[in-house]
Parts: sequence; structure tokens; C-alpha cells
Amino acid sequence: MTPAYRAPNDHTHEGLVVNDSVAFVGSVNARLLAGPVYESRAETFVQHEARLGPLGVDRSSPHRLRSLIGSARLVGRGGGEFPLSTKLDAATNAGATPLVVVNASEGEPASKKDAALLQLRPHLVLDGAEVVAMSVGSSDVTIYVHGGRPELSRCIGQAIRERNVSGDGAVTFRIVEGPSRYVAGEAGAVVSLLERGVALPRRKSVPLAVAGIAGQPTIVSNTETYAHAALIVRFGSKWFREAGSVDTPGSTLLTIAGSVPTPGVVIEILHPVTLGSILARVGEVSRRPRAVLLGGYAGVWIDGATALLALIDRHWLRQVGAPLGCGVVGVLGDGLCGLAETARILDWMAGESSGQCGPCVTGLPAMAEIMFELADGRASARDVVTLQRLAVDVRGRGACGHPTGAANLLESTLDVFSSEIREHLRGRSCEALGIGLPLPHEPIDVSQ
Amino acid sequence: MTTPMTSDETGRETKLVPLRLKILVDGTKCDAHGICALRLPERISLDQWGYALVSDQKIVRRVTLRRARRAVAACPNGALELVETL
Repeated sequence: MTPAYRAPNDHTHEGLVVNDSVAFVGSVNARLLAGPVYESRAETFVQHEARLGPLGVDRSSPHRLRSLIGSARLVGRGGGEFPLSTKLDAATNAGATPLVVVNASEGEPASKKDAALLQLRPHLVLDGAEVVAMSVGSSDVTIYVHGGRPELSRCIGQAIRERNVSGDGAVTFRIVEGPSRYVAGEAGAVVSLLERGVALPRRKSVPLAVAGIAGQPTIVSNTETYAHAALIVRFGSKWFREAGSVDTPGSTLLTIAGSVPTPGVVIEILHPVTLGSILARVGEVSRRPRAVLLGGYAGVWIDGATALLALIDRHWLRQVGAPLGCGVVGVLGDGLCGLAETARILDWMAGESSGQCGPCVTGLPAMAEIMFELADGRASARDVVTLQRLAVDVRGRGACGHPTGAANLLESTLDVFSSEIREHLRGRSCEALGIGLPLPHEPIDVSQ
Repeated sequence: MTTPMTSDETGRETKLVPLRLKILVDGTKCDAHGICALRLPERISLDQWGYALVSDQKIVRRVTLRRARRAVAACPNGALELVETL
């Protein structure tokens, strides 16, 4: 018997700009971003089920669902790349009924992929959440949306209403809007907000999957991770593993930010390809970038020439010390100053600290200040040593990964932009002006 | 070679701690008083601002455990704890 619904592997909608901030190119055999683009942008529940078929999950065997997700070897797409099935097993064995949280707090300024899913394919996310909930015997799903994005809450709210009309209502969805702070998307902070209304990271002595909200086992995973689960349940783990690489199967969403013709474009990568070919696809073919910031603002800079040859594969990138994380590829154009960029980002990160841990509160502003001095040609070689020391002193400190992210960024800056640092130490004024990578409340495009 | 885990015939205390313990610092509570580093300098140092940097090393000797307990108790903010590890 042939299946009534085909697994998505479309050639569709190249270079389509969906709205001001989210564009997407699904020309590379998309899965999550496959299917038509609808007038209303978001695919309705009826359209979704007509395209992919009903979820059709056997509720009576959560164990089978867990082993399906386990054999797909799906890892989290929010940055941590943690295996989803490990969380599911831990939550199942924890004793109490688990809670399921879709972490849609996309606080990473350059990242648009979760917003793209919520606005275009909300039912993939909700299906995935339903699957995960059923796999751990839960019926309670919370969608945690980043603050200051009412359009996302509206979109997902509309999708939930559609399901309540025609769905079977086995799972209860609720939407909670968090604060519009970067650290508010950290899993511990998410749990803290849902528990007591304050989004603060905390030291986790046991995994959240074992004891999260009010001590109940809590699955907190990224929006994209759930969307993958929706397709795994329909088309199987073998199908899922046909994309990606052996070590990290499945397609992956990327946001290409910075010095590209369409900053903020979201694309889906089905198989490992070089970053050079990805950038060629989004239109950046003329000049080699000065550098590329991989994995978001807590990621690492890679030299432009190396970056173009880098294979965009989660496992490989992790091996070479530049994890893909949340999938942000920040392109720094040839005419821009990596030191000034890093100073701005560190300054923003310092402001986004939740203010709980000393090394983060003290160290991050110090980093930003010295980096600005360096970018302005007013720093000395001793200041560079101080920067190195600061990176060492904040790494691994505190309740969350925020200071470590800043240390990653800083150390890779000192490494990749060493020739620029030498120039700036000679007090030469920086020729490179302009902004490459976006931060909240800043103009995004600077190429003009 | 056997590890002495209980008191011997003469009733003398063992030198080794049966549980594998280490010290954890809660960065959200540490306010850089620095008393812990005075109590247990072999495991706790201070960073450039005075916040505690705790060694990941396990505590196996009873004398270290005693000093560690004092360091934990000395923190005005209760930022340190002894936890069992694998």
C-alpha cells in the first residue's frame, strides 16, 4: 500500500520575502519549510493536514513514540544540541507526570528561524509538541514566546484555536509570553518564569527533565526541535536520518545575517554543504567576507576564507570548535571592523546579563569597555592581555552559559582578528565604519 | 591494595572519606567575601574580583572534608555546598 501523503521534499519558493524580517528560501529540498506559501502566511490546520496527513499517533504506546524519536537521533536545535530522547527518557523515569514547554523565546537578535516556523508552519510545531507530550504521557503543553513579539503569540494562538475546532483536544496548549530579554530564553529561566513569574537562570543540580517547574519533570526544547518531531512521527526515523549527516541527522534551519543581500533570510539545509555554497545561494558571491560568526552571539568568529570552506554540519562544526548552535550565520563584510562589531555585541551581552553572578556582572562590561577602546585605537598591548584574562575568568562561571558565551566570542575575536588588533594597537584610526550584525533597536541593514 | 574505609582494631579514624564529595559554588549567591578561600585554599581560589573559583577535584581525605565543611559553613551567603559525585 502506498502512503497517501508524501514526505515533503519540495523545490519551492526561492528567495521569497515573507515579511519585513523573515524571508525564506526553501529551494534546497525543504522539509520544515516545504509546501506552498499561503496568502495568510501561516498554514492553517486544514491545509496542514491536507498536505501532510493527520498526526495519527497511537496514544496507547508512548514507549513506541520515544523509541521512534530515539532512533531518529534528533538533537535540540536551540543551541545545546542535546539529544531529545535523553530528555524524554529522563522525564519518563522521574516518576511524576511531565510538563512540556516549547521554547519559542528566540532572544538571539540575529535568529529568525523559530519566528519563521511559528509564522509559516505553526502546526508543525504544535504537532511536534503534541507528539512529545504523548511520548511522556503528558497532556499539558506550554508555548513560551519571547516578549515583545505579539505577532508570534497571535499566530500561534490562531493555530491553537484551529486545532480546538477540528482536533481531538488530547493536549491542552497555553501560551505564555516571557520578557523580551536574551537570558529569558535560557531553559532554567524559562522554568523559573513559568514557576514564579521571574525569568532568571538558576543553578541546575538536577536536569529540568527530572525536576523542572515546581519540581515536576519538564521537557524544555526549542521550537524547531518540535517541528522535526512532527515529521519524524509521520515519515519515520529512517526518513529523518536520510537528511543531515550520520552523526547529526535531519535537516537544519539557518538564519543568514549581516552583510548579505537579504539579512535575516532563513534557509533549510538538507545535507552538509560548504558555507560558501550557501552564501552563493543567498546571493553573496562577489566578495569573500572578512569573517563569519557562527552559532549566534555566544558563538565563535571564523576567518572568512576558512568559513567559506566550512562544512555546515552540526557534528563536524562541533568537532572543529565552532558549534552551529541556534543556526545563526553572521557574515561580516570585507569593509567592516570585527573589533567594533565584537565591542557592540559584548556591550549588548553585558546589558543582557541577569545580574545574578559576580563574574558576569563585573566581567562582561569590562570586556566590552576594553574592546571599544581597542576598536577606537586607544588600547595597549596590556589591555589585550587583560581581555584574555577576562575571558578565562568568566568562562564556566555562574548559573547559566551567558558568561561562557561572551568568553567564546571574545577569545575567537582575539584569534581571528589578530592582524586588525595589531593595526589598532598602533593607534591607527579604523577605516571600517558601519554595522554588520543586528542588535535590538538598531538598524539592521548597513550596506548602503 | 585495600582502601581503609572503616575504623581499624585500635579504633583509630580512617584517613579516607567513603563518599565521593566535591564542593559546588552557587554563582548567584557568591558575593566575593573570600572567607572560603582562607578556610580551604587547596580547593578554593578567588578570581580577579574576589569571587570563589572552586576546584572540581573530589574530596577523599577526612582532613580535607573537615576543612571543606568549615569553608562551606563560613560563607555568609550560604553559596557553597558539599555534594556527592560519581
